[in-house]
Amino acid sequence: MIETFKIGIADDVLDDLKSRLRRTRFAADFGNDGWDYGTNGAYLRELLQYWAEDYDWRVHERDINAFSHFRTVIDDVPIHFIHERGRGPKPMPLIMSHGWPWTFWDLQKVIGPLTDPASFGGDAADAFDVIIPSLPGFGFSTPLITPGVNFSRTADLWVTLMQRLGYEKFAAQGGDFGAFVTAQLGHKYAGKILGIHVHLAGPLGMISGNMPDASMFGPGEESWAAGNAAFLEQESAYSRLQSTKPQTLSYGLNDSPAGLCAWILEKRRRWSDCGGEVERRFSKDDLCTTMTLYWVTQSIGTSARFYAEAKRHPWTPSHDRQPVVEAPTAVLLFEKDIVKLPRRWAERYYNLQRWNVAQTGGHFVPMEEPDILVQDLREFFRALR
Amino acid sequence: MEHGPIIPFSVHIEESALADLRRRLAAARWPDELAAEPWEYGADMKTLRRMTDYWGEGFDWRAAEAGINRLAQFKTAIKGGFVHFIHERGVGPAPMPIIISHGWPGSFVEMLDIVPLLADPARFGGDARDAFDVVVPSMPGYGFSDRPVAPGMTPLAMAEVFAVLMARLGYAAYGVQGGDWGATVSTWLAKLYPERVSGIHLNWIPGSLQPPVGGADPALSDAEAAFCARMAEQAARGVSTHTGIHASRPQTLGYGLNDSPVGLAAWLIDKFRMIADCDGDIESVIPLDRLLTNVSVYWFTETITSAIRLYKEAQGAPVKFLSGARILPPLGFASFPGEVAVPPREWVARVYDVQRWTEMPRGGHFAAMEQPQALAEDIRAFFRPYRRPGA
Repeated sequence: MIETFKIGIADDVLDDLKSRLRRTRFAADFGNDGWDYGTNGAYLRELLQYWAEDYDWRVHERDINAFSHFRTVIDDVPIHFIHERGRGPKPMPLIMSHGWPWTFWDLQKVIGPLTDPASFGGDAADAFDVIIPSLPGFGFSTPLITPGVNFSRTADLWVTLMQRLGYEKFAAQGGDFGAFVTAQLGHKYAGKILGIHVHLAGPLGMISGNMPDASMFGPGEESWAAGNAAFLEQESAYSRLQSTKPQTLSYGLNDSPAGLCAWILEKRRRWSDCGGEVERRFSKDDLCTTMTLYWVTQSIGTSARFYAEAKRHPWTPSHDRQPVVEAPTAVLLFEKDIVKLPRRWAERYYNLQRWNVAQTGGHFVPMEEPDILVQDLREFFRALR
Repeated sequence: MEHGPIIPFSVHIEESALADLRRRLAAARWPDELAAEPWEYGADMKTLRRMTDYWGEGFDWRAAEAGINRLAQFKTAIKGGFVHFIHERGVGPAPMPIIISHGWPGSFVEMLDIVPLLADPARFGGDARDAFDVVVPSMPGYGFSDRPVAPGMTPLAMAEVFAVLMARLGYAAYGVQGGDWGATVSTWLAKLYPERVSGIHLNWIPGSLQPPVGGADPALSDAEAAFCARMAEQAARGVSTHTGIHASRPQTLGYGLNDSPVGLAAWLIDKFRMIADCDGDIESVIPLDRLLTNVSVYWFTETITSAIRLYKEAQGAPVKFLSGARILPPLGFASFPGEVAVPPREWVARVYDVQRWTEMPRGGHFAAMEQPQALAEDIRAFFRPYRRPGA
């Protein structure tokens, strides 16, 4: 059963958030202008002040509710999703999967141009029916109390969801963890998938296994192997923690909006193409909306657990055919993203039809570079309609 | 530097801080309960809730505080920051001075039981000739010592601070003891001041120790190779995930832990349970009141962030020794069976002068809390030959 859904956060939840923010017992920071020790205290203080005193959730709640939301339960897993019908002669169904620490709302800027291209300077023939679920345990796909829901299970849930919506065949798109959900759709369900588009490339066993060999990196990709290694060395402790003990972390972050904000903010700054100035890519309102969505849905713990589920229930192939991902695939990488795998590897792993590397933009593509993403999606899927 | 006032100190937490803690504990926003095995994904919520409910409603901080204050404490400013320390004079004919350094997730609270055992052995069935003048500092950034205000407070820098402290107390020669970070600080004290350190007793070998291997030094023995492989495998498996965050982005984590007492308790107690010799039941080896005394010290002093930043600072002073580098003072090592990773003796002997190596019958990473009597006996026995008459 699919129910329509409207977001309406109770006043007392917002009041409690505000009072917690005002009573924050702020951890002292020093010698940390470059954020080397993690989230910078002065900027965090400024953002928390804004969140408590100036930010108006109701404005953003209205914007979010301008889209059509639904909820359903599949295999005991609550799933929330946006479903917007395309305006055009024959809209193509497209399910878009977000990542961590994202929410469904990180896709906000592409919904209009993808569903209604004619209103955004495009061609109505490029219209999509857009389905944007919250990953299990994220946002309004909560509470998730069932263990074992990893990205592979999520792909299974998406197939059921699309069937319920009457889509037997559909296209899929994703970044970060959503790219793994998307690639798994292209691996296990290639017969149902018109094509996949990912802006993070990686073997499905990457979280539980190995990365491609450094010798695979070709011309123009020389710095990527070193960049990947640096990321794993310096920036991946959060991932190791969330892969093993997400619950230990969750108590503090679910109880302290300052703690939650610091945890997510550091990633937003470090992973985006912002030159160290996070507001070049995310306004204070953007950041506070993300934080509020995590806070009011109490989803930081279960979202972190998505890593542990990937680690504990390693990906298992559904077949041993090559390429691993048989669905037609487009890869769109961004030079400033955190992990980039080589084209030579991608050509063997996916049924690769399209490969582009954008020079600007980082990890949070739909928020950072929505136009590049929309353009690439239209061009790629045009041939598959 | 050697001179400076030593100010008597006792712990007294304001009533308003106690009330604020109780209010925060009562208002804790717990995550949804997960249908999974207890502790499978980290700190178990039922256990944690029982502990933090008790923290807010049953635990008597004033009694814990009185217990701490039964030991003589002082503060003195060294290199711009106040250092808090216990200083209990020995009861015996010629007490030997000893400085005991704690670690993380502990604090000086780890040593509350062992201080009297070492200072006044006769009172506990021992020999008064084994008495020590016991000094237990709070490491800079921990407990009631000041938090550093600039980067660079490495374990090596702490050793320099503690050497000043001992000099200021008038001790020209002394023993050093420690586990966890305290083992690293003790190692640096022994390395930097061999003429002052009469002996070094450890119950943990620094996990980051890099002794010289190959070339002029022996190649790895089979046992050493197996040890190194086990360390690499554990690192890959993410066994020390807490420390990965501490060593890379500690500040990011600190905001939540400094603002949420249940978050802090989860972070500390999960670690205690992981590395104590307790078969998953931490309260069977460390009483809940003592665990909560330790957590309370972190909470009231707001030191969780400064404490975990040490893991990052420590990268500025790696425990790495080139060929020929030796730690001259004799080493006594108490090897506890539940300890996280005890290297083979030959690994330790590459750098230290191993004079005593005791296989302890039981106990884990928190030897001074889990097995104070056994640890005290090993410390007494080790230092007996190194006591200087009249010192």
